Amino acid sequence: VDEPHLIARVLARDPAAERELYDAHVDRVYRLAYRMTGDETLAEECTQDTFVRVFVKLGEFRGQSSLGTWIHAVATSVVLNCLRTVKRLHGREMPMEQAADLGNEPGEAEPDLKRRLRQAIEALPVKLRMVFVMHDVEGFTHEEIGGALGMPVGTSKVNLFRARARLRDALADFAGELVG
Amino acid sequence: MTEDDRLDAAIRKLAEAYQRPPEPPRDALWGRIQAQRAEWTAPRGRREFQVRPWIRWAAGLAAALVIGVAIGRFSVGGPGNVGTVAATDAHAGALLATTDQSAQAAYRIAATEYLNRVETLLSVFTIEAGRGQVANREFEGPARRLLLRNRLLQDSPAADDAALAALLEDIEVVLVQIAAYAGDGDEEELGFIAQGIQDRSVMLKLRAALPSGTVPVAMQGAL
Repeated sequence: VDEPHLIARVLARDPAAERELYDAHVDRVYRLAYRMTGDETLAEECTQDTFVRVFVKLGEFRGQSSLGTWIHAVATSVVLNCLRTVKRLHGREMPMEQAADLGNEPGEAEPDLKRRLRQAIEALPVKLRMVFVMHDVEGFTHEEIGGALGMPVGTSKVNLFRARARLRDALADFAGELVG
Repeated sequence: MTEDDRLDAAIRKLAEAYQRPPEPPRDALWGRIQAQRAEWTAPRGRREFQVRPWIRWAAGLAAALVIGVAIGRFSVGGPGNVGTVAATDAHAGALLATTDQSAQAAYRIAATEYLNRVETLLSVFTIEAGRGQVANREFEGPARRLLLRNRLLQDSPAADDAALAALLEDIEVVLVQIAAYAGDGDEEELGFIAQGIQDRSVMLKLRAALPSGTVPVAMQGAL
């Protein structure tokens, strides 16, 4: 895709170009929103909000990163706002220690391991969770994550290192089962 | 490969199932995005919240009161106040001397206009919730549109003002609840939303944030 040409067509209000831009990025935006919110409605709302903002703000895009990275920056901002709102509504975020205490019986069946992993991921501070999900689950590169979250590549790597360490700690009881 | 590396790899593999997304509803989402953009760019009259006749009367009365108070201040104050107005105009000129300040003022106007709309919606919602007459069709659309504007304002320089940013966050929470309200007459849910508005003192903060007159002098001519 010739990005500058596509952007110019979108800015000129070419409906086919708008749809082309949307089609090229919607899956990755939706997947990230869903992985982070775990809710279909919220993921759709975040995706919708992201693209409305992208079309409103596209004129401000200066090409300092790829269009994809810029769109993911908008998406991560929308998702973080959404998570903050949900947290305020439900006050559900669980401290790490509390998550580690749940179902703390070594060697339980796999569903319990999955449940523990889920709790441990959700107990990560939101930036660490975002980096872990983007890198280890959705396959973003550190360059893409840095661009999207507005952090240096090194910070993204450090955050991933910390997230993994916390997950290893939270799942220490299952280490044998996991690597066995 | 260290023990940690092996554990990381196993966690990564297991995490692939973490909140595995379904296929996105691409066409439906595209339709909603287009509809939202159309609303956003539609002529102003079409986007406005449809107020009921009695609200128009109340708004008219309030406007008459504001004008009356303003006339009273000018007529009672006499020449002394003329000086104040002139000084304010001079101050306003100085304030708008730079483009940055003009832009800031423009964002402030947008925020003020936005807060006015939110106040109208929340007033009507609170009154109708008290009567148990909330029909969600009337509120969902306006709440969603105000929600989008809220998020745009939160990303704008207007949110550099910490008090305004906090107010926008409180409003966002309330609007999310109103937009999500199913409108099925669930009194408990309605009560929860009304309680949320009260607990956060949203109306009080809104009224405190809104200028008492119309557009402040310092903001005139910024757009």
